Amino acid sequence: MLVIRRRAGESFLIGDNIEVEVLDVGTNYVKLGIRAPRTVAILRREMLLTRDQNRAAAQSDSSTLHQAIAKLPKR
Amino acid sequence: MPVTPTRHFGDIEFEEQAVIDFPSGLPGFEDHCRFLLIQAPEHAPLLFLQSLEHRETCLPALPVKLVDPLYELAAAAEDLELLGPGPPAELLCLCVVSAPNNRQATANLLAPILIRPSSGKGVQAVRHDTRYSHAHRLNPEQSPCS
Repeated sequence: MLVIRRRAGESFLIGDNIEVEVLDVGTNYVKLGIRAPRTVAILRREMLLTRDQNRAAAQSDSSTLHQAIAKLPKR
Repeated sequence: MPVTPTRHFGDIEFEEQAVIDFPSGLPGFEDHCRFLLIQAPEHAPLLFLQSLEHRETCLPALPVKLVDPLYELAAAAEDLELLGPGPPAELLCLCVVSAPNNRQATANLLAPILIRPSSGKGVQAVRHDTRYSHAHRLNPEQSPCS
């Protein structure tokens, strides 16, 4: 993994037409601004994980599901 | 009464008031905004979020508290706004369960489905933190000592 150190107000480029600027740095967050062509998809990673998980869930196999819930604690 | 085809239950009748509106769809199914929450005694405690847009799109879900009794919700302000005003206690909090063929069943605790029955609105509230997994194992292997 490439690691670069940037301060607020500084930016870096990915390829020719994607620019990422560090707008603000807090104690437990960084605020980024991204300039990219409209055709470039920008997705939070957790959104990507959830998208893939939703698609997998929609393909769920009913016998596997039943085995799974059979072992859940009864309420 | 309107009738819809479903993935697991054939054609079913439903009341328009029972339709849950997901204004921004679900990640992976952004163009699906209308769902029914189907409970069938033979599948309890499992629930099914059936898309009204597409018969094959049906997501199994479980109440979050059944998967993790100590689960602490942390929904973003914009997600709560989508649900409309109302008491937090009213919110239905589910997690999508994934059980692909021959693979471990997992629940997505990173992105609970929140439904407010009084407004009929729903949202998949993807958390911004990393406290919970998107693939929480439903049946962790028993340790040999227990």
